[in-house]
Amino acid sequence: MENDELIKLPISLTVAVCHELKDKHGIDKGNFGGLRFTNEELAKITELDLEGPRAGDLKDIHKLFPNLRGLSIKNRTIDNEYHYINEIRSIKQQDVWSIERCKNLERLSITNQEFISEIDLGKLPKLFDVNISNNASLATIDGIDKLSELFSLACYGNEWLQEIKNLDKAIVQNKDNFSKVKLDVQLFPKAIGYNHLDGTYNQEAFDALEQEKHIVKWCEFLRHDNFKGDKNVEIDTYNMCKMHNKACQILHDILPKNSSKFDTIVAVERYLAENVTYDDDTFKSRHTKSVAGKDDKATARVVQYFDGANSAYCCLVDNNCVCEGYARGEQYLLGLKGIQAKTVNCVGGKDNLRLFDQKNADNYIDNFFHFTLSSNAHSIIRIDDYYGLYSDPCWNATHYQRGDKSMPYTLLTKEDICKDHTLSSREAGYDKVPSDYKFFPQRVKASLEKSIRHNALFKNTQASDVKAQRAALQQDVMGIVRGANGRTYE
Amino acid sequence: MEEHMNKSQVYAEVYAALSALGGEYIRKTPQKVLDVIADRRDKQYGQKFDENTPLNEKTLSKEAIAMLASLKLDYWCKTALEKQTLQDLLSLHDKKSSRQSVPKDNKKA
Repeated sequence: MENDELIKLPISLTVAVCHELKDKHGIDKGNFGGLRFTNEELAKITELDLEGPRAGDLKDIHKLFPNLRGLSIKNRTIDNEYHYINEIRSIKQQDVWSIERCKNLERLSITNQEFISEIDLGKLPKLFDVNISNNASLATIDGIDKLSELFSLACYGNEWLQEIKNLDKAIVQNKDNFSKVKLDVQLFPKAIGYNHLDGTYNQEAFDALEQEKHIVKWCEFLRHDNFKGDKNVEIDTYNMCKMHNKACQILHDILPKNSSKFDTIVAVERYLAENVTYDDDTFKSRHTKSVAGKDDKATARVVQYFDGANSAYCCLVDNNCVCEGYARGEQYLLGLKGIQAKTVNCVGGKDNLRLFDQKNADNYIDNFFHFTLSSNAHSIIRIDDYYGLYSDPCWNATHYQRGDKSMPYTLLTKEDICKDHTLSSREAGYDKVPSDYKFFPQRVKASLEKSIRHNALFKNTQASDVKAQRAALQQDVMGIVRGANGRTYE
Repeated sequence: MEEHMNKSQVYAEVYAALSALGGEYIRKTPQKVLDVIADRRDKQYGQKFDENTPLNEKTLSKEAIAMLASLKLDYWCKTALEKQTLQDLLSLHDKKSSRQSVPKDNKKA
């Protein structure tokens, strides 16, 4: 009967649990294969450091590890954007829901997980150390203002992040606790509670960031380079404010009051085309730009500035950057006007090698590296709040500065942009390899949400059917809680 | 989707819809209801909803859509007006359906 009580865990958890038991409790479980654990052993676990867990690995983690205080989830492969979806290791949204039920969690780090779309930190009120970074599909972070004992907060590189509610309030209420804060440059407006409608902001949050300027860093996580590691641009609050003020000034100068989304986008792209030049020096020297000597004052305050030519900072402050800088600069400017956009990686040129042809699937990665080495790794922007259309501000600028002022790469459909750009597999949607885990991309979510909000989904539904389904659900719920939730059903 | 669905298949479809909707919708739904949907769903059947499957009236059964409507009415509507609009729409379909069925019966008679 004892065997019935032994628990088998997924391999990622097994490895982490074995290390923890050995290091902290002197229990050596031997080889990992076929290992099972007792509830007593699992109850000893307070920290888990997981490397490359798969979808579903963390299901019921809240039940398995009742005393868990610290959880770290990471994945070493960074450049997932060019991989087929079934090659990517990541936990999924259902795992996040299990994490949200670990009520005693104090430290949480989730990095580089491709298939999570949202997290509610408010459900984990004891958290004091949070790192949510480089999760490509993460769209929403909720409940951060419910954390009142935060002393370390890192949140950057979550490329799809559209909503992080009340970040400014979280900063104000934790200003005396913070010992380390690292936020994405694109989050600065949210950190100061910037209101895109009237340009006002939360002065208290701004003062808190100023007060803690020695421990607050702003960064842009750029692409992972297998040879040089992460390209991480990091600036301090002084430079962040400098960039933000310049961006506000630009918008003030180029936009009339109440300009439409379309006019705003076109005006921003025209500004970039007229004022921002391509940084040929950096491009020729393999993206190893140094800003030393260019602006001594700025350089002195820049904490770490590797590969900065890819940054929004170089675009908006220096007016000189490479392709990714244009896209990130535009993303920041549009964000200040409440227009959601995303920087998208691609290759400048058509997919002549037919990389995405299923016949080439086996050699996809090799083909891709061959293609990028022989061509131009590139970045453009997708404007989610304007029909998901694409613009290439960099190519617009180079055309403009050579005399062609037609801005030919403004607001193009995916089909049109693909005529001379090869989108990454994630962006192109060519990653339709069957997989056993469930992940619904933003487009599926948006479409379903819209049809529920506007009742289009219910256009043929009858009240009697709804009543029948409600009764069926009621029956099952009552079977479990016997009405304890207080809800009454018709 | 005219075929008859069993309850666990309906839960599997509603579970897929909730997974896709995420955040706001899940938080508004009581935990016990979520638990029933997650625990009693047909996991095998749920596999057919992969990440590229659009979730709409063509791919979801009428039972699952009806259950989503009940969740919207009970938990997701933000205003009384929104709730009333949906209730009116559903009642209208009931009336239409009964009107369509009456003449047929009369003819037979």
